[in-house]
Amino acid sequence: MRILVVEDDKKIASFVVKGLREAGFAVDQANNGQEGLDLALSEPYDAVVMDLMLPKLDGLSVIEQMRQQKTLTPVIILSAKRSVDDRIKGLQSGSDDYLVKPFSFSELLARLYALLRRSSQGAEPTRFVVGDLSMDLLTREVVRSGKKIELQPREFALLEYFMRNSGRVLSKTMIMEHVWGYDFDPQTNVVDVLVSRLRARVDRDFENKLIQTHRGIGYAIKVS
Amino acid sequence: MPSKFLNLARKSYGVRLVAWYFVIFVVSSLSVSIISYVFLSSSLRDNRKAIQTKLQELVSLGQRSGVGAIQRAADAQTASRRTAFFVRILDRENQLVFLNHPKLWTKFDAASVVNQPVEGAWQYITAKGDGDVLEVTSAKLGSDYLLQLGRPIEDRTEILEDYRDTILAVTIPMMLIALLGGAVFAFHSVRPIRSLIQTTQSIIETGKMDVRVPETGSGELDELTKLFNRMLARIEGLIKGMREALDNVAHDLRTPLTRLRGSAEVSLQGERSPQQYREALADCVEESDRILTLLNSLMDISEAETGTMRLHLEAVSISKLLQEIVDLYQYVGEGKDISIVVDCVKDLQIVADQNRIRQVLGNLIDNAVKYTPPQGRVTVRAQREKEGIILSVKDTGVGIPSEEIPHIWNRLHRGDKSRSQPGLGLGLSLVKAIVNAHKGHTEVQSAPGEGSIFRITLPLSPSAK
Repeated sequence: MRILVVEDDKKIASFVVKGLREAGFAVDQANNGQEGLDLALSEPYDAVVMDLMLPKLDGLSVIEQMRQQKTLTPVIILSAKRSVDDRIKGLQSGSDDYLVKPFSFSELLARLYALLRRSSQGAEPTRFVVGDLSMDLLTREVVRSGKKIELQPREFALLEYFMRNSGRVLSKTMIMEHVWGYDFDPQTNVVDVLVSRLRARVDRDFENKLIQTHRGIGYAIKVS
Repeated sequence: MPSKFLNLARKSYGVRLVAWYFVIFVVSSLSVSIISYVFLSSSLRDNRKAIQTKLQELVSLGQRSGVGAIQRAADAQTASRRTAFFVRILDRENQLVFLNHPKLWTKFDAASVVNQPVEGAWQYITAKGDGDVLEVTSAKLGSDYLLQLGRPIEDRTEILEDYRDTILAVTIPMMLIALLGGAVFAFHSVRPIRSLIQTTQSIIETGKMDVRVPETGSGELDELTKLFNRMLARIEGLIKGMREALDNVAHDLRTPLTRLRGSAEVSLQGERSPQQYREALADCVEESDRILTLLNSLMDISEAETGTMRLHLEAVSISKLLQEIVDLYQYVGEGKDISIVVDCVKDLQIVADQNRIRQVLGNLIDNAVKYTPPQGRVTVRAQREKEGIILSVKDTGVGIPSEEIPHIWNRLHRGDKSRSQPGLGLGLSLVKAIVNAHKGHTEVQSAPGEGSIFRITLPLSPSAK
């Protein structure tokens, strides 16, 4: 998988590039809009991570020109502007997702995976397995070590989200957005509460804990 | 110089007004004069007609009764100079045969007429001494005589000349009046514009926004002045609000930034185990997330308070929204053994910013759950009243001491009991700011030990008020 990162801030660019390479992507980087556009038009990328405020050519124009030239590579915008209007403007230009700075890297990664999955349009799996835990989306059955686990709808949605992204750290914002369907920042962390409920059902009675907390970043499910 | 003046004229509204006033005034006065001059002159022109009528009369008299009859008729005229006709008959050799009232006409130089009598043409004989003019024409009388007939036109020329002189004499004062009048008129009408310019200039030069244009009288320009002042007041308010917001944000960010910097710096002093570094870094990430949340909340509050918050207004179903938000806190409530109950009729609708109202309800429910002991109950209710929709969040919690109630809406205020709970102290000020931005209001009733009820009233549509 090949990713283009268009970002003029050297530090941000360097940690994004480093993080993406560690996650197994091949990464190219452009320092300004023009260079980014040239690369995006000439090389076959699977996704583009695009800053908005860029020298020479701003990010929105790059995306618009890419779309005019029928380059349909999915694009994630990174922007310091957080207002709803800016978000809408970004999505209208033809980008596929919008991330506000400062962003968490795990969130960028998760959104990137989601985009890549959407654009590859492979057959949707209906069954997930992580270690001795399995989940069937059709029968809505969750089984661990042969023992059936009963889950409430939100708990089920969270577990499904974890298992679709097994091994990846999911930020609280992403879980919030995914499980409840909207972006909201409640003061008490309702995500923590939901995760601890899920843990009580999935992990409490088992020696091997599957749901892991990554302090400061989020949660992940994996076989440790 | 002339080009300089032209430039000024093109630029200055006042000079242009004066010029227009001047041109219009002078042109209309002159045209009135000229029209009356023409009328006067045409009425005086009747003199010629009278002479011609008399001439024909005398010619036919001569043909019928001979020259003698003309002489008698001419002599019979009353000797008034105004109405009398000058009658002269010449023979073929231009010798004088007859002249009536010779004394009357001596002052005219008759000789010139004698020498060149042209039949049918008009001739003018100027009197010696004064400027009187004798208007003369002639006609053949049979084959032997030439009849000359004339009448002084002294009155016509004199009147016309006098009239022309008067017009000329009046022209200069008229132009002066036009200039003066134009100047006064222009000065008056551009005065509001001038004070507008002065005020704007002083604001640009000094940067002081508290200057206002003096408001006088009424009319379009004063309307403009008033609007300009209102705009200034609004801009001043916004600038002040933004400055305050910036001060507050800077102040409120210092503490968490100190924590962030501190934990990073301390872990860099001396060697530590990878696990310790990991902990320190996680601390830093968590702290920076808190700073971000704080920054966003502060920005929201400041924007809402200064009126720069953009509300995305749409029809919102209150019952759906309540259900959603209660659903969000359901697990949190269950964890503390607190039941959250919704009491709302189904078809309650309101025009509002859905995300913002969700924030408001979220904050209130969050507080209620936080400060209610186990086995408590939080009731969220929505009802329609005549002033709008009242949303209330009631808890069976610890309550708020009455001396603290006035301060709870303040930014970063944290009551004694709330210090033990995590939070930023921004929730309620954000609630109030958002509700105010929707043109609603907030109130609270509370009794320590019994619980609190927070009530917010929202108009059905913020734009309707």
